Amino acid sequence: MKLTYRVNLTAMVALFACSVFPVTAESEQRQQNQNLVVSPKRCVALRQGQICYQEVTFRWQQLQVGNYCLVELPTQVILKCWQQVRSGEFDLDFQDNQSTPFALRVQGQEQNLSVVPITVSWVFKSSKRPKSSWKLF
Amino acid sequence: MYSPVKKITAAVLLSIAILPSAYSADIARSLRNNTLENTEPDNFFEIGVGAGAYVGSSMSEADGKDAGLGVNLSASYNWKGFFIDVFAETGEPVVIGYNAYNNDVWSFDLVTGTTGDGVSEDTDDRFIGINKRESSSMFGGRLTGYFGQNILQVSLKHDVKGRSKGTVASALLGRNWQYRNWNFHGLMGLYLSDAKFNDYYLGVTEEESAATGLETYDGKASLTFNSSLGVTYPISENWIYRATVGFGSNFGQNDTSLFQKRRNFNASIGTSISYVF
Repeated sequence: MKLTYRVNLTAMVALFACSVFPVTAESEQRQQNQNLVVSPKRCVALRQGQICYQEVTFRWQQLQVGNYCLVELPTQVILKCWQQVRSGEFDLDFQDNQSTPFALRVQGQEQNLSVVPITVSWVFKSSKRPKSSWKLF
Repeated sequence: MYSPVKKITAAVLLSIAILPSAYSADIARSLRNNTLENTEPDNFFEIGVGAGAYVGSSMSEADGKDAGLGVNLSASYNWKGFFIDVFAETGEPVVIGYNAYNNDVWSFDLVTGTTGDGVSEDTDDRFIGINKRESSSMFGGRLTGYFGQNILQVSLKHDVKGRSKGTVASALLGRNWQYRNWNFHGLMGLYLSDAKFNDYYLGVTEEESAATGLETYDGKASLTFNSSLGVTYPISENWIYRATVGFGSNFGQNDTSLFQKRRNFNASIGTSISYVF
């Protein structure tokens, strides 16, 4: 009876571990991304291809005090670095015609601690007309 | 827009209020959408609410002023060069056309559209006994040139239904600007209506004069000016805010006795919020 109980307990623990660990990993990832947030997340232009303008605020926090930088990923441009802190805030006048990801990194390193995108969307799509000669004559 | 009658009807007041402007063809839409070049037209369906006010010549209002609220619908569908614009930024409720030619700069469309109805006994009590002016089916062409943020458009149309047997022409020049997410546009144009067109919609025959007591009038060719300044702002991916002020002339059109109030110039203001599907 005792043995059976132990087996069942082990099985339950294993089952628990299997089911919980992926969730925990996912949670950690989510937690990591929540370490860097931007508000608002979306910029809406009238037409596809237009430069979209949006004043946004980035907020981040880390467990360890350190030197961190906010980086615009496509261009690798460092927007701001903080020294010996574990949280920060940065206002950006976002101006772009496409969605752009931003990342928080330890200063001097290329590994992203957290990534957050600003999504550019639009009301009217805009596709180039195919060049053509006279279609009628 | 070239129909002088439309300026003073409730329908036009509504179009002033809700549609960004009442210019012929969709040059206004291109400007509003800040189209930089000759791009493929977008298929869309819009529904919105708006408010507007108008002051100018009027057949039904003694002071020539009107204001109102309304609901607007607007749609455009494009397929392999063919297009249909419904309650677009045009003086014609429905425009059907075919894009016969285009390159990076120029685009030429064959277009046909039915104008709104003209004056009738329903317009005002003063018109009891008058002959109802039917809509005209205009057919013609419009040439549009895209020069950076400037758009030039000329059009020539003839009434192929033959009720007015009239011809109208227009030359429009517009430009847009973007300041952050606000899209501004300016548009000015000259509109020419021939004597046949004006006589059908604005003329008063001796028989009509006898029945209504209005003075007889023979329509003459007219050249009118219109302009507008507007702004469009994308509230979200589906919601748009628009506002427009307009100013134009009525020279050559407001001599007819059909007008209860005659002014040489007209002005309008309108604002709307629309949902784009």
